[in-house]
Amino acid sequence: MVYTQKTPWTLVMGIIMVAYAYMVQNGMMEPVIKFLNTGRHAGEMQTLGFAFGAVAILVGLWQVLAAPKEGQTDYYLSTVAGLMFIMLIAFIVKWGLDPLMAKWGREAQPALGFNFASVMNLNYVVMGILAGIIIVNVFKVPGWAENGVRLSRLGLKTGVILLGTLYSFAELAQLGKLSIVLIGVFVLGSVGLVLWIGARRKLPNSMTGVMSAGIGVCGVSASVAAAPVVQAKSTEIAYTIGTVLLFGVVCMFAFPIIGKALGMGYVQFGAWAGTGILNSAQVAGAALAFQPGGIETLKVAEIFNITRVLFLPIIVLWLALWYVKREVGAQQVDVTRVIVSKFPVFVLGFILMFLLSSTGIFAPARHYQGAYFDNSDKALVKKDRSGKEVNNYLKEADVETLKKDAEKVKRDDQKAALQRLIENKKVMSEDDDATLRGIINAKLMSKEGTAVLNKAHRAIRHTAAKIAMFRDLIAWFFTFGLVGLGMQITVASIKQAGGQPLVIGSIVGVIKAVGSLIVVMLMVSETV
Amino acid sequence: MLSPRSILLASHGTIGAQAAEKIALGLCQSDTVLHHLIVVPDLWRGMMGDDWLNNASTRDTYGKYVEAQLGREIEQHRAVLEREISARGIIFQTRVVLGKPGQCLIEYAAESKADLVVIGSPRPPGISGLRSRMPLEKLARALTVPLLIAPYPK
Amino acid sequence: MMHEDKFDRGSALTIFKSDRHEDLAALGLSLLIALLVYLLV
Repeated sequence: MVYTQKTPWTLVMGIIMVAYAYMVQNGMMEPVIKFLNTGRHAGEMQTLGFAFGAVAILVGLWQVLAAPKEGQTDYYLSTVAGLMFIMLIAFIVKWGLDPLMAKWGREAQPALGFNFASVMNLNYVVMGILAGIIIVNVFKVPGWAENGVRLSRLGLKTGVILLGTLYSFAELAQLGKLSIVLIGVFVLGSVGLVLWIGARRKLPNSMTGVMSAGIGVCGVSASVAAAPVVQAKSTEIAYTIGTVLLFGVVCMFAFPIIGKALGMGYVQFGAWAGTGILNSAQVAGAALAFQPGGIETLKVAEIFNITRVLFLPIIVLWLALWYVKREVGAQQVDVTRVIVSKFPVFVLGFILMFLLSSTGIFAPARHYQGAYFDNSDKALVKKDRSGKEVNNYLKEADVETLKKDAEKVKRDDQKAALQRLIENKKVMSEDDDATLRGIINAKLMSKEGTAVLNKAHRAIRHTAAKIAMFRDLIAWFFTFGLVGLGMQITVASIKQAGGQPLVIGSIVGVIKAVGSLIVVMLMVSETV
Repeated sequence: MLSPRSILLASHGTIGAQAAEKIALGLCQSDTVLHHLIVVPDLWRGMMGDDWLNNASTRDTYGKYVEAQLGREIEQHRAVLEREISARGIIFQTRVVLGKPGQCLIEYAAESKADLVVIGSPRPPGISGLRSRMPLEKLARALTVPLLIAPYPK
Repeated sequence: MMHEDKFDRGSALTIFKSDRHEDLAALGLSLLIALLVYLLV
C-alpha cells in the first residue's frame, strides 16, 4: 500500500517553522523573546527552525504534488509528517509554554506562597509528555502523523547511544558498580517477592510470571518479553500492563516532586528513579523532569536503565526455568537462544560511542565530563550575545572576601593554592583547582568565601564545544522521544489495571520505590 | 413476540455475554441467521509495549503470542457456541474485528442487515474483567434496529 | 489482527521490522551525528 497521505499539513508546519526562524533572525520576535526571557534559545530557534522547516516544506510539497508509488521512498518519507508534528509540539513547549509557566510561577509565587511551576515540575519535558498524552486521548493523533510517531523510540535509542559520549571511565565504573548493586538487590528482590506472594495466594503460574517480570524489571518491556515464556492469558497480560502503565505514569510525575521536596542531588535522584520506576522510558522522563536544564541526572538514570536491560535476559531465563519446573507440558528452554535474542544491541552502540569519546576526539585531552581547564586570557575574557565584554577574573571585593577567610584554611597545600589565587585573581593550575575544590567541599570558609571560590572554579572550567553540542542534541532526542512516547500512553490501556496484578503490583512497587529511596538517601553521596 | 430472521449477537465469552447468547439462541428459529460478532478491543494497541528498551525480536514474538492467545480464547468460545447451534440448524457466522466495541457493533449491524441486536448487560461493579464497555446511549442512538440487552445472571 | 494492514513492517511503535533493525538504525544515526559534530562544531 502507499503510505504517503495527501495532506497540506506537512507543508503548513514547514512554513510555520521557517517563518518563525526568520522572524527570530530579523528581530521581529524580540519583544516575545524578551517577555519570555528565552534569549539563550535564540540560536537554536533559528538553526532548528530553518533546518526542520526546510525539510518539511520540501517533503510537504512532494506529498501534495507527487503521486508516490509503493516502495521504500514512500514508506520512509511518510514518517516525515509525524516527525514534524512532534517537533512542532516540542518547539512550542520548549520555547513557549516552558518559559511562560516559569514566568507565571514566579508571578504567582507571592499569592500562592510557593512557585507552582517549579514545585509541580511544569518544565518542557513534563509538558511535552503531557501534550502527547492529551493529543492521543482527547484529540487522537492525526492519520497523517501516525507513521511518524512510530519514530519516537528510535529517537530515544539514539539519545541513549549518543549519551555514551559524555561519560569518563571513572564515572562509568563507579555508576556501573552502584547500579549493579542497587538493581541487583531491588530487581531480583522484587521478582522474588512477586513469585513468593503469587505462590502464597495460589495464583496461576502464568499470571505470577508475567507480573513478576513487569513489576520487577522494566515494566512493559519485561512483561512483553515474559508473556510468551510463561504462556500468559490475555486478561493477565492486560491487567499487568495496565498496572505497570498506571504505576509508571504516576511515578513519572510523583518522583521529581518528591525528589525536589527531599532536596536530593542529581546522582541520588538518578539512582532512585533508575531503580524505583518500573518503566524504562519513564525513568528518562522523570530524570529530565527533575533536571530539565542539564543532563547529569539523566546520565546517572540511564546507566541504571542500561544495567536493568542487561538484567532482563537473566530474569526471562529465570522465569522460563521456573515455569518449566512448575508446569507440565511447558516448552523446554534454549538458554543461549533466550540470551542472544533478548540482548539489547543498542547498549553496544552506547559502549562504542563511549569508547569513541574516550579517545578524546570530541574534547581537549584530559577533559573530565567534557570539561577542561583553561586559565588563559582568551578563555577568561569573553563577549556575550550582545557584544558586551565579560571579565571572569576575580574582582577586588572577591579578593577581600577571600583574605578575610584565609586564616580558616589550615593545610599548607590549601594555603598555598589560596595565596596563588589571591595574587593572580585566577586559578593557576589544575592541581590548584582540585585543592581549592577541597576547601569548597570541606566547607571551611564562610558562605561568601565559598561562593567566590566557586566563581573562580567556574571561570577556568570550560565545556568543550563538541560535548556541549552533544548535550543539546541528546536533550532534543529525548524530548522528541518522550513527546512521541506520551502519544502512546492511552487511557484505555491504563484502565485495564486491575485484578491481582493491581494489588500485588502496588504493594511490591511501593516497597521497591520506598526501599530504594531509603537506600539511596543513606548510601549514595554526590561525589560521582 | 419478536421473530427476527437475522440476529446480531455481540459477545466475548464473559458471563454477561453468555446470558445474551442464551437469549439469542432462544429467539432463533430454524432458518434464522445468527451473526456472531467478537470485538477485540483496541486497547490492545496500547499494550504492545510502549517501552523502548525492548530487545531484539522480543516484541515480534510477543505480538504473535498475543494474537495467537486471543485467537485461542476466541476459538474456544466460538466452539462452545457452535456446538449448541449446529444441532438446531441455525445459520451461523462469526466475525472478529479489532476496534472500539460500540463502533464495531454499529458498523457490523448495518453491514449484516440484522433485524435485532443482542448484547449482554454491563458487568456489575466488583467483578473483574477488561474495562472496555459498550456505550449504551450511543448504541441506542445509532442503531436502526431493536436492541435487546440480556440481564446480568444472578 | 494485531499487525494491521497499514503497517507494512514494524508495529504501532516502530517503523522497523524488528528491534534489531531499530537498534542498528539508531547506531547509524548516532555515528552520523557524531561525525557531523566532529567535523562542524
